[in-house]
Order: sequence, then C-alpha cells, then structure tokens
Amino acid sequence: MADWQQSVRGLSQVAAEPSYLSVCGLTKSYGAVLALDNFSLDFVGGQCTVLLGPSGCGKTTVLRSIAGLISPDAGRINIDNSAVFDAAAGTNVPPEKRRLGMVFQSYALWPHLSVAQNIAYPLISAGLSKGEIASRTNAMLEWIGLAGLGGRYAHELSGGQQQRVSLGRAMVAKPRAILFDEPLSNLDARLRERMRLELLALRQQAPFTAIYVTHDQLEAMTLADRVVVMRAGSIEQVGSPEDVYKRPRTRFSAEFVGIPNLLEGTVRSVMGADLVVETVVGAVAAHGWRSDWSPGAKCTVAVRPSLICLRCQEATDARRGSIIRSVYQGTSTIYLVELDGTQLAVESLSEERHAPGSTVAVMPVPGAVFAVLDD
Amino acid sequence: MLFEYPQVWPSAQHSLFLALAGATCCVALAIALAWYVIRMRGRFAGAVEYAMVLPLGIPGIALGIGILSLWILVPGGIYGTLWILLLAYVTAHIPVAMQFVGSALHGIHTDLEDASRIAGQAWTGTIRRVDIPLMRPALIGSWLLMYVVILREISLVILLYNPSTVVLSVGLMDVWSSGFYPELAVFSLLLLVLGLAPVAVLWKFARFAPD
Repeated sequence: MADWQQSVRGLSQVAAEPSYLSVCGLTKSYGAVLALDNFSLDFVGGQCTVLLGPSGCGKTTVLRSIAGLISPDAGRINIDNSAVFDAAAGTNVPPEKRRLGMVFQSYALWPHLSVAQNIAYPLISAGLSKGEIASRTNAMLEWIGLAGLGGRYAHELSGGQQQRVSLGRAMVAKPRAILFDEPLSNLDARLRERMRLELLALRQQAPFTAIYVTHDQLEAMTLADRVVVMRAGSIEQVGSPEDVYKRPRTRFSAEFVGIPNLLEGTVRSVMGADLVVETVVGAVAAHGWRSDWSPGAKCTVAVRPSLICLRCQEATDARRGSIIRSVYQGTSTIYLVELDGTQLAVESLSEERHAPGSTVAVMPVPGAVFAVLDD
Repeated sequence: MLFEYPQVWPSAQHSLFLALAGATCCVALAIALAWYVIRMRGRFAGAVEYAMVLPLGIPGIALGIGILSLWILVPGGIYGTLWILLLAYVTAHIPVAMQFVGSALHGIHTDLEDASRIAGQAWTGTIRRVDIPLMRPALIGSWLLMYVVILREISLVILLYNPSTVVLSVGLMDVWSSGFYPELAVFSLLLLVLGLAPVAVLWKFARFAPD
C-alpha cells in the first residue's frame, strides 16, 4: 500500500487555505433534551480542534451545526468572519454553499459510484472543467495512495482504504475546513492505530483547519492542537492535549481522560494554587485549578495509576495497603490496592510481581497530584 | 386483423397511454410523497402516510363509484375523459408504489445524502445524483408493476369508462359477453403483448446487481 507520507507530489493541489471558524451561543434542544447549551468556541485556522466527550454530550451536534445539517435554535456560526448561521438575523447558508469537507463515521461513500467518481463529485458540483476534474481527481487518488484503484467500487476496498477515499473526497475541493465525525471508530484496533498516525502525518503536511469529534482520548491526544472536553452540551475544559491529560480541571475531565483514582481528602495548607491535601495515601502536595481553597475544606485529588510508586521494602512514611487484584498487561501490571477502604489503581512497569494479598507501600510521584473541581 | 374491429385499435391506444402515464405518475408521485413523509417529516406526514394506505383496503369498484360521484358533480370536469381513468388508476395504485419507493428510501443511509449536500449539491441535485440511482431497482420494479396492473385493471374502470374511452380490459369483457371469439382472441393477444413488452425490455435494469 503506497504511503501518502511519501507522495508529496501534487500537494499544492490538495492543500487547503486554513480558515478561521467561530461559534457563539449555540443552543439546540430536541424536545426536552438540551443537546447544546450556549456553546461558544473559536476554532483557530490551520489547527485541529478535537471535541472530546461521551455519546450524547453534544459534540456531534456542534459538528453537524457547523456543516449546516442541523439548524440550532439560537446562536451564530462564522467562517472567516462571515456568518453562515445566525438565528437572530435568520441567516442559514445551506450546507452545499458552506464550502466545507466532512468525513463520516460510516464513510458515506456512494455505492453506485466508483472511487474516482466519489472523489470527483465535489469538483463536479463546483462546476469545474472536465480536464481539471480529471487531473485533480488523479492527484488526490495518488496522494491518498489509491492510484490505479479509481475504477473500483467502495465495497471492493478495505475499511482503511474506504476511509481514505472518504478523506480524499472531503479534501479535493479545497474546503475551508474539514469536519471529522468519529472517522476511526468503525475500524479495528490495529487499523485505527495506523490511520491515526497517517492522519497526523497528513495534518503535518497540509495544515488545514480541522474539527474532529471523538470519544477516544487517545485519538484526541494524538491529533489535537487543542482538546475541548464536552459534557451535557457545554464545555468542561479547553486546553492543549498535555494540559487536559496532565491537569484535568474537573472530576469529569479526569475520568474521561482515563484517571480512575479520585481520592477524597481534606485541605491542610494552602499556598496560592498549591495545596497540601491529607488523603488516604498520606499528605500529598497537589496543584489546584482555583486558589480559593481554605484549610479544612473537602477536596478531590486525581492521580494517574502510572504516577503512583509501589514500594514494598522501603520503610518510609508511605501508607500501606494490600493488593486485591493484579492485571498483567505486558508492558505493565495494574494492581488494585486497598487502603483504609479506598481502592486505588496503580500501574507498575517493574518486572517484580506482587501477589494478591501482599502488603505494599504506595506513594504518588511528587507533582503528579491534581486537585480537581467537583461537579 | 387489428383494424377489422373498430373497438380494438382505439382501446389499445387508450390502454397503452393509461398504463404508461399511470405508472409514471404513480412512481413520480411516490418519490415526492416518500421524500415528504420520510425525509422532510413535514407536519402532514402522518396524514399523508395514512391516506397512502387507505386505498389498499377499498375495493376497486367502490373507489370507482366514489370518483364517479365526485367528478360527475364538477361542471366541465374530467368526467367521461381518459383523465378520470388516469386519476382513478393513480389513486388506487399509489399505495403500492409508495411501499416500494418508501422502503427503498428508508434503505438509503442519510449520511449518503448529507455527504452529497456538503459536497456541493442542493437537495434537488442530491435526489437526482444519489437517491434516484440508488433506488433504481425499486423504481423500475414498481413502474413495471404499476404498468401491468393498470393494463389489466377492470373493476375500477368498469363504471368510469364511456364509449369514447374504452380500454382493452373492458373491450375484452364486451366481446366476451357478445360471444365473438376471434375478436376476443385479438384483445387477449394485445393485452399479453403490451404487458410483456416492457417487462422484457426493462427487467434487467430492475436487478439489484451494482453493475
């Protein structure tokens, strides 16, 4: 399979001019269910913004509103400073006039058209000349590594190839932005991994404006310039992948980026945003999102399983717990440790194995603990 | 042979016209109504759906009486013309066409239409370039069915025709009661040929193979 990382030829034909998008006050309800609640966000031109959240959080509603497939009840959507949707002014540019590209979870390739015809479709809609349609279609086929397969039909291609066709079709007409609606969730784990890296390479070659919707934190971390964690129709946290991963703002964000350890504690001392919190693993230094903590207040801290040390022998001031269960994962082992009635997941890279029932000392890595906001 | 019997040629023309026009109207109307009911989900979608099932349960002859008693009251109306027959055929058979077209439209994932909109086609272009090609087997199949059903329909038309709008099926009944067998054979043969001809031509386009 040809690799698009190597075929830079024809790049000028597929690279899009990055556009700037902004949505403001977007609200949409379905009956009694509020899918979007006054949602506002700027999408920086040339960047990939990932909307991350569980199903039903409104992320797809945002995407489909931007595409023009859904009309929100209120709010405004601008592309390059011109409104494509404005509920107050009654503006609603239909999807075919918004000049966007979209990659669907279901691929949405037209089964009655060949691969080349699928890719040429947006160019035909744009009314280009036959010659230009042919040359741009061929350049795109080559770029997505499917040169020579233009005559095939979608059902004759593998899942990964179909997703590339879908991507080629979304990009070929040089859209102002490309919208991705969980594009990798239909692929098996190995292919998903590879497509994720290919998408990353593609973005680095042609920095188009991308809005990417997913519930997979790994995809979000890899592909995002900026991650937007969404919950129940509003924004929970916005930040770089590293920010969101290392410093989740709320309990919800922490759980969603894969931190199962949320420990209840009591604030002992406060110095700006730095706290000392008394928890089941002892007094730990924690960094907080707000600075108005006061000593004695209840506080939840989050700590990643991989950032807790397991030490059996060393007698420090670390608390001791007993191992309930161990799960071998190859590169690491996950231990479920119980301390004073609280269960804690600890990930250990050490080759040394601890049997269930044995007593271990646990201690968070300094600087790894974060005080999160309760919901 | 054909022209020895004065009724044969005009009634064959009437039948052919009604079958072609009736089948085409049924399918075209079914596409529009299915789109309204399934995709637009308009305010009257429920009512339309109900109205589209209702004629299935009404016997042809009763429907004929209904149409007759309505249009006979309209001065300068279509009573006594071929148009009233066309109207009756379309009314009686649209539910079946709706079932075909509706289930075909249900089978088209809306992502395929959304992708077309984003790729720059308005909804009219989307129907033309995506939905109609994908529904092709159902459209041709239902057109053929409408065509042959209208061609041989008798209960509906028996009360609505007059001497200037005789169709083959009614003409056949006529000569049957007069016991004139050679003419009866001509009518039967014509019905058979007219019925089989489009089936022979179109059946291969109604297959589901994505060729």
